[in-house]
This record gives sequence, structure tokens and C-alpha cells, in this order.
Amino acid sequence: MASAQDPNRNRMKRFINNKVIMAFILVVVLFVMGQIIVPGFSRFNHIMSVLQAAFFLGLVGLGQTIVVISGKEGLDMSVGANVTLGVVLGAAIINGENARLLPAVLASLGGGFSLGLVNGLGVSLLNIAPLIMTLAWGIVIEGLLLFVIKGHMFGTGCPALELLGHGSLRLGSLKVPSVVLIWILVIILMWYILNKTKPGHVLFAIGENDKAARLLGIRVKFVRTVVYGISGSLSCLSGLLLLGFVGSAHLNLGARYVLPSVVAVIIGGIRFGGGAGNYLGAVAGAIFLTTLQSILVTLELSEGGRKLITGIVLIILLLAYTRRQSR
Amino acid sequence: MVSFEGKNIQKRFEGVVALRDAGMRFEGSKICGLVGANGSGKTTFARVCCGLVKRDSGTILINGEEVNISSPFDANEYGIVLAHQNLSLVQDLTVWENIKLGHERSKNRFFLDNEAARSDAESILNDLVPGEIELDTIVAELSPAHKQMVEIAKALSQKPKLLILDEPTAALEYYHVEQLFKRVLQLKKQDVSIIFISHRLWEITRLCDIVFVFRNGISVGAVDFEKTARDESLIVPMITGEEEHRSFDYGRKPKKSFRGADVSLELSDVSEGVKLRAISLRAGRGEVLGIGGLNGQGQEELIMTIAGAVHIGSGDMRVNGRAERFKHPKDAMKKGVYLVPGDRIVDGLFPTHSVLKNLIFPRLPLRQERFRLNFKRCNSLSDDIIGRVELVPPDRTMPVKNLSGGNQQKVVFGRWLQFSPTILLLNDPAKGIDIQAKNALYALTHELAGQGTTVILYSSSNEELITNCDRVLIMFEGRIVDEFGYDDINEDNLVKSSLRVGETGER
Amino acid sequence: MSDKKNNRRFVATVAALTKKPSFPAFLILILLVIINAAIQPNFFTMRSFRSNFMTFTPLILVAIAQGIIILSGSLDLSLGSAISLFNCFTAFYMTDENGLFIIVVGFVLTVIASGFINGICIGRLRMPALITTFATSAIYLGIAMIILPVAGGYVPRSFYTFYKGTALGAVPNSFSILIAGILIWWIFSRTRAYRYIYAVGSNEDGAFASGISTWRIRLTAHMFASLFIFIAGLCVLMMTATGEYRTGQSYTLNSVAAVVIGGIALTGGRGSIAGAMFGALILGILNNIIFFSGASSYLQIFFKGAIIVLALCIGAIPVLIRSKKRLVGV
Repeated sequence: MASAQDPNRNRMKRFINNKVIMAFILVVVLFVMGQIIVPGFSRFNHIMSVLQAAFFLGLVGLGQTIVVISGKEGLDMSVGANVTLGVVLGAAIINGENARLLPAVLASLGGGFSLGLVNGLGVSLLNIAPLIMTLAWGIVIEGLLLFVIKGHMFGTGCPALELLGHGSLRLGSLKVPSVVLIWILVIILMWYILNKTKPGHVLFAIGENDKAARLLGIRVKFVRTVVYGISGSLSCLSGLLLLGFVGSAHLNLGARYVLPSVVAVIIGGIRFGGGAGNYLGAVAGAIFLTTLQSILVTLELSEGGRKLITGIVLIILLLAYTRRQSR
Repeated sequence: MVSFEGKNIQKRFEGVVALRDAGMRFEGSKICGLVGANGSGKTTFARVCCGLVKRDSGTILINGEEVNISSPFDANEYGIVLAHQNLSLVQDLTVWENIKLGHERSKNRFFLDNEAARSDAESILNDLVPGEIELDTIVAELSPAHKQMVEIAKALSQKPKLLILDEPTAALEYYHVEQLFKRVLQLKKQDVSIIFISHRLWEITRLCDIVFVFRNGISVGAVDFEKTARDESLIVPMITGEEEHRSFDYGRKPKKSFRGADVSLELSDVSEGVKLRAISLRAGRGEVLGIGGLNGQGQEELIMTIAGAVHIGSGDMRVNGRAERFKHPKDAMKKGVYLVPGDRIVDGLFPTHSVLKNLIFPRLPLRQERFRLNFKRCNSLSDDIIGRVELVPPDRTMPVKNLSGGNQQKVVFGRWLQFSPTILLLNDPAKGIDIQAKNALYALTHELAGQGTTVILYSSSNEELITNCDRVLIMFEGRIVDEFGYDDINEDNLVKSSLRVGETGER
Repeated sequence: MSDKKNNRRFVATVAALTKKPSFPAFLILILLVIINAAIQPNFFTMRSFRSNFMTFTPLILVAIAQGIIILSGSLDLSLGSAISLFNCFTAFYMTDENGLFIIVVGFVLTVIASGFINGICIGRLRMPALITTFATSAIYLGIAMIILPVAGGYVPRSFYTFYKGTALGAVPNSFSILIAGILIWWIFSRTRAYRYIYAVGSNEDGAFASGISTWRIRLTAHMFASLFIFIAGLCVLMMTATGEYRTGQSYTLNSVAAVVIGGIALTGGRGSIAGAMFGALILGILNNIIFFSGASSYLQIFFKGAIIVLALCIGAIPVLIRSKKRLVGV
């Protein structure tokens, strides 16, 4: 509904309202602040290393993005447990051998998918609120994991994995981490799938109005269940790659991804109720949170302080983006 | 209440104008009727008067003084109470708790006096429907008729000075209606004014002293029965408007003969719980079969069952001779059975998505549509449809929530134009949309019928059934009770059959 | 003749009781008590009763809190973190002299955080309950972690001995605290606000149309619940005699499971607090059973999580059955 007034004013309004752009502006602001606090923060190589760390959150955030778009206030709180699963599974299967990398990848994708399916079934068939269902199931996965490995981690990654997770491409004095390259590929792939293909449109349809989607012949329950499965496999894969990034791992690794993945999605302007959203926004959100974390660590803020700040950021976002219609 | 006046009330909801210039004025305790077609703004006006909805502009005067009503609490202060159509009952509380909800009795500041409240509720209920409803029943377990009576009792227990009844008789049995009328006349004697909103003109002419007519959100006039005769024909022109009458003069669709062998849809003894009882019908290729009757007699359930949205309990259905048992709308769509749902916002549209998306989403489950969508084809398909339905504005990128109701319905209907439907199910497609959209829709319907589509049309408007159908079936309490061939379709027959006995609704 | 009439009335009352949503929970509770008594040799002694209620009481209180919140149509995932916050705050600042004062400050803190902030956000500002309380949960836990990053603090010995002790012969103090809490709830259940909580939870639009200020009722529900969080936090403090930010965590999901097991609908407006109490007892007894079954501690964690998932699934079934009864629609 273009107004008869100044067309520039409308473009300006659309620009500000575009949440993805806002999110990236916030990221830039954060990097500027970082540079002020810690000179050298915004060197190319350091930005790259922040992006490298942000990738893992971004991959988890991808799963979270499609879950949120799928509607019914969808969220996946079991991502933390799945990341941990990826780490454990990866280490156990690979155990130092390069050749075992592929089986490990397949195992983590498959394992994460099947666990995620349980979430999907609970949400689609039993109509359990996604946040609660995934929260509870995440605890079950964690408990099972703890029980199976009995507190000890065994096995390690392999050089190929380390190359993937930790390695980088050198262009002169510039280091571009391999995960950043992978991430760019993922972003392009996601843009294509969500905007140009059938599955993408189906996802948006069921998120926007699942009653109407059903009446148009879309198998809503099936699609939603699969979406949660995909989220599970993505976070599991992220865990596997994390093993390559960190080298060894401890069991609490996954839990610190849960809250930030949700916040990242909301920073990115993805609609909480479903039906709309752009993964690029979640990318910006992931980068924002990782940068924030980095700055806070530099400022020697404790884990509690970082959690507090993340919680406050989420509240502010919720206040701005998710208030229900007033009468 | 000595006098009540509403002037120039305006109300807009997110892009849709509900009230443009609405109002009414009466003095003394009167029973005022408020009538109008669907979408004319009657219910919105009632909700403005009782504080559920805040008006954008306009004034309300009580006894000559301007009042500001911005919440149900305010309205209560002035004695204005609305009896909803089942909106305000709390399903999990008992009958008496609901009747006294919001104005309970208390022993002191904090604690409730349930005994006193219960006996209050008892006496109010007995004045209305003696001996029928148990006070301690949970509301969720009541029949729709009883729920409506409890809703009315709840309004009465607030001792209103102005009681607004919004379509109170739609869900009621005949004798309930009589009891309600008796009570309303009593209230008038007790100095209470009543605004009675209904689409049943025979009730309006029987009960009311004065009738106000709304059309498209504007009050277009009033008929005062204290000055003129109680004649429906005085009201009807104001409801429909001159232009509407004229354009409906394109007359009925011509009679068509159907060969018995060309049956495309056949139902035998289809039942589902209490909503559908032993439904048997047949429809031929290119036939427009109407389903009529009072609201809520199972017509929607029937349509949804054929569409595959609801399971068939028992019985058989055949499409083009083959037995089918649709478990999901996808199964129905595979066989060429398509549905235009009744509530376009809730069941039909993807509000923030564009017209293009809304039109092409039905292609998503199709095998023939590839993984990568062919946007060139989708764009031209939707432009084609936009042209055929005469969408205003013809912009495929516009989010459908910004369209007017009629145009939204064009989108919901139009998406099926890209297929050749074997059976097209229309669930009250023209409810509450403007005349231009309605005409466009029905023109397309007949075009499709001409190409061999079987159209099953459920409409809550007898006029639409008369103008558009080859045959009409009347449903009552889940059964098909009458069938009218082309020559027998007229207002008289349809109304009499819907009510089961005569225009007065007597048993 | 009157004997027969009395009999019939008795049967009718019993029949009505069995239809209540909390009845299945009651049956399960009886069953579990029997199993527990079988496994644990000294189950019916005063000693075991006392030690059981030391752990049961806080969970039952939190379940009551969550129950009231859920009945009002809301849900609070920050209850556990609020307890952690109270726990760390009081343990950190408490000395032998200022004990009572710190408790009072802790009370105000809890009511503001758990009650007021959540209530305003969800009720007045209409933010979605689940994710908002998820956010506030992070905030409260973060503050607790800042105050006491490692377990520590100081709790006067008298607190611990009180909680462990008995009064009037053999009534455990922890049990008396529970009774006090139940009494407070019972008084509240006789008020107008309590019925309005059911109304708002069952049909918010209808409640508004009936002249009820829905945001005030939601706020009331959250604030009244925070009272129980305070008492529960106090019990946890007395029970553990130390400040530890991890102590509160398990209460959140356990309270939701307790409420669901007890027959309260997650959508609001239906069920009774008695059910929530039964649910909490069931979880407590189940914990006992798992503990005494001798399973490894890791397996125990798994079971506890699995029980919550199971409770959710079972709780979802009645809702499913109800919605299948509606014919038209998806």
C-alpha cells in the first residue's frame, strides 16, 4: 500500500523494519565497540576467528530457524543434548582414524535425526508445546548419554576432522577458516531451499496457517515431525564438527548452545509464531551473540554474568518482537 | 433508560472497515430490532456499545449525556449488557458460576457467598427456562441451545437497563424462542430496553417496536412498527439495497437436464456421530447441487466429509463410480475434489503471504510440481487467475491480509481455477462479501459447471441457493429432509422446509 | 429407609469424586506407595516419613505454585531459577545476627522477581509465557551464579535443625510447613480471584467480556504463586544448609510434570490443585523407588527425565480425545 507521499520515506521505513538488516547493523555496532574496548578486536583475522566460533552456533541456529518457521511457537531445546551427542558419537566412532570420518558423519546425522523425530512426534501427534517437549526430551537424551558413557569420554577426533573444524585457508596474511567457507555454502543453500523450492514453501505454509495448509493437501504432521528431525541432525553434526574445532571435549559443551540459539533466531527477526523468517537473520544473531560473549569474556565477566546478559537481551527482544495482540 | 443514542460510530479493524457511520436512536423502553446482511456491522456495533471493542470515533449518549464506554466494566456501569453468541461462557465452570461470573455475591471483601449466588442464579434461570437446566452442570456438557440460554441468563442477572441480544435464537429450539420472547416482553414492562439482533425477519416483525437497518457499516434507516404495519417487505429493500436487487436481476441460471448415468458423486448412508445421519445423495457432472437449511444442521460437516477433512464414520462415498474413503484432504485433491472453506481467514488464507503464494500453495503437494519451483509458470498462472476473478488490486505480490473480504474470498476460490475440478465444494462462499465479489464468484462457478465440474454449494442465504442451483437439498439435524428440483426451488419452499413447519416456526 | 437414602448419597458422592480430573493421580499415588513400601523396608516408620517430607515438601509447594499459574492459562519455567536465586542470595548474605532480616529481603526479592516481573510481562505486556519465563529463568540463574559461583555461603545451624526436627511429639516440622502452605492455598481458594483464575485460564476472551480484568488476575496468580516459591526456597535453604545455584533447577520441569500428572490441563482453566499435590507426591515416591532400586546414578537421571516426558505424553491424551470429538475442522 504505497503512500502518495515521499517514496524515500517508505523505503526508509522498510529498511528499518527489515529485521535482518537491523541485526547486521547491531553486529557492526558490536564490532566497533569491541574495537574500542580491545584494540585489534576488529582485525580481519580476529573477525574471522569470531566467525569461526559463531559457525557452530549458526549451524544449531539453522535447525532452530526451521523449527521456529514451522509454527506453533516451535522451538528445539534439545539442541544442547544433541550437540553433546555429536561430540561423544564422533569421538567414539572416529577414534583417531580419518577413514572413520564419513561413518561418523552419517551416524551423527542419523542419530540426531531419529532423536529429533521424537520431538516432532510429541509436538505433531500429541500437541505438546514444543518448548516443553523438547526441554524434557533433551534431559532424557542427556541422561541417557551420561549413563552410556558413565562419565568418561573415550575416543578422539581425527586430523581430517580437525582440518574441517579448526583449519583455515590462507590467502597471504589472511586466514579464512574452513568452517566460514562451509557456512557461506550453507547460507546460500538455505536461501535457495527456503525461497525457491517446494519444501521451503511447504515449511512457510504450515508455519503460517497449518489448518489451511492441511486443507490444501499438505501433510502437516508429517512435515513438522521431519523438521524436528532435521534440527536434531543439524545440532548433532554441529557437535561432530565442534569436536574437530576443540580437539577434545567435555560433557557440558552442548548446554551452552541452547539459550543462545533461541536468542539468535529472535534477533534475526524470525517470527516466533512461525510462517516467516530469513536464515540470514539467525546468522547475524549467531555472530552477534558470539561477539558479545567474546567481549564479555574479555571484560572478565563470569559465566553467570554472561547468562544474565543473554537473558536480558532475550527479554528485550521478546518485548519488542513477540507481544501478542492487545484487545 | 430514558433514551439511548449512538451517532456516527466508526470502527476499523486492520484494513477492514466494519462501521462507517453507524448509529441508532430510541426513547423509552423499547424492543429495537437490528438487522442487516452479513458484514453489515451489527455485531461490531453491539460490541462497541457494550465496551468489548473501542470505537474509533462517534458518540454514545445515554439520557442525553455523552458517555465514554471503553471496557465491559464501563458498559456495565451504565447498565448496558450484551448476551453473546456463546462467547463469554467459561466452559469449565458450572452453570450457576457462569451466570454470576463477574458479579458474584460475597460475604465480605474477600470471600464468596456461594449459597446466595447459587440461589440468585436459580431464580434467574427459572424465569427463563424453568426446570430444564441443572445448576451444577459443567457448561461444556450442555447442548448449544442450553448454552445459549445460560448466556442469556448471565446477561439478565446483571440487571441490565439496555439488553443487547446478538442472534440469540440461532441455536435455540422453538419453545425456547417462545420463552425468550415472553421474558423480553416482561423486561420491556420493567422499563428495560432491548436491542434484538437477528437475521430472522419473522421474529423481528413479531417482537420489535422499531427496526434499525445496517448495510455495509452504515445505518440506512429504520422502520417504526408503531407507525406502519409489521411487514417484512418494508425492511428487506433497506437490507439488500437497490443496486443489489438490480444486479441480482440477472435471474436464475437456466434449467439444465441431467442424464442419470453421469453421476460423479454418490453418498450412501453416510453417518458421523450425531452430526450426520444416514446421508444419501447423488450429483451429476456439471450439476450445481445446493445444500440448505438452518445453520448448524450438519451442512458444513457434510462438505468437510466429502472434502476429506473429516473422517467418514460409516457409509459409502463414490467419486466417478469409484469407492473412496478420504483420510486426508490430499486424498480428496488427488481425485479432483476441491474445497473452498467456510472461514477464509482461519481455514483458507495465509495472511502475511502474498497473493501469488496463496494461489500456488495447492500445487505444493502435487507430484508434477518439481523440487525446484517453476516461478515463471507460477507467476503466469496466478496472473491468469487474478484476471479471471477480477482481483482488486490485481497485484500478486500483495499480502492477502490487506485485501478486502470479497477479494480475499476471490483468492480462496480462485486457486482452484488452475485445476479442472471434478467436484468443487463451496462452504458458504459468499458469506459477508460485497456484491461485486459475489457475482464474480458465482459467474466463475457456473463457468466451471459448464465445463463439467460438479458443484456442491452450501449457502446460508436462500437467495443464493435459488439463483444458482439446479437442485436443492435441505438438511435438518444431520439428515436430508427434502429435495427440491429446479421447478420447486423458491423462497417459500426453502424456508418452510428449513423450519420444518410453516413460516411462523410453530411446531 | 433413610439408611438406603444415605447409602445412595454416599455412593453418589464417591462416584462424583472418581470423575474428578485428579482421581487417576490419586490411584497412581496409592499404587506407588504400596510399591515403595515393598521395596523400602522401613517405609512406614516415623523416621522415614520425616526424611521423605523433607524432600517432598518443597516439590509439593512448587507444584502448587505452578498449578495456580497453569490454571490461569500461563506457565512459568523460571520457578527453579527463582529458588536458586533465593537460595544463593540468602546463603551469601546471612549471618547469625541478620538471619530474619535477610529472609525478609529474600522474600521481597522472590515476590518481585518470580511474581511481579513474570506476571507483568505475561499478563499486562502479553508476552508469550513459555519463552518469557525461559528468559527470566536465565536472568535469575545468572544472578544466582554471580552471587555464588561455587557452593558456599552460610546458613545458621538453627535453620537446619528446625527443618530436620519435629514438634508436638512426632510431627515433622517440614510436614507442618507443608500443612501451613496448604492452609494458605485453601483460604485463597475461597476468594473471588481464585474463581477468576479458572475463568481466565479457561476462556480469556469470555472472562474479559464478563468484566474481569484479565491482566490483574494473571498478575495475582503469579504473585500468589511466588509466595509458595518463597516458602519452598526457604525449605530448600533449610534442607541443604548451603547456597548452590544448581539446587533449584530440577524443580521447574518436575513441577510441570506434577501438574500434568495431577490432571490439570496445560491450556488452563481445568483441574484442581489437589491433583498437583498428588502429582508432586507421585514424583517424590517415584524418586524413592528409583533410588532404592539400586540403579546407577546416571540411569537415575535418565529415568527422571523419562518420567517427565511420559507425564507430558499421558497428559496430552485427554486433550487429544477432547479435540477429536469436535467434528468440523482439522
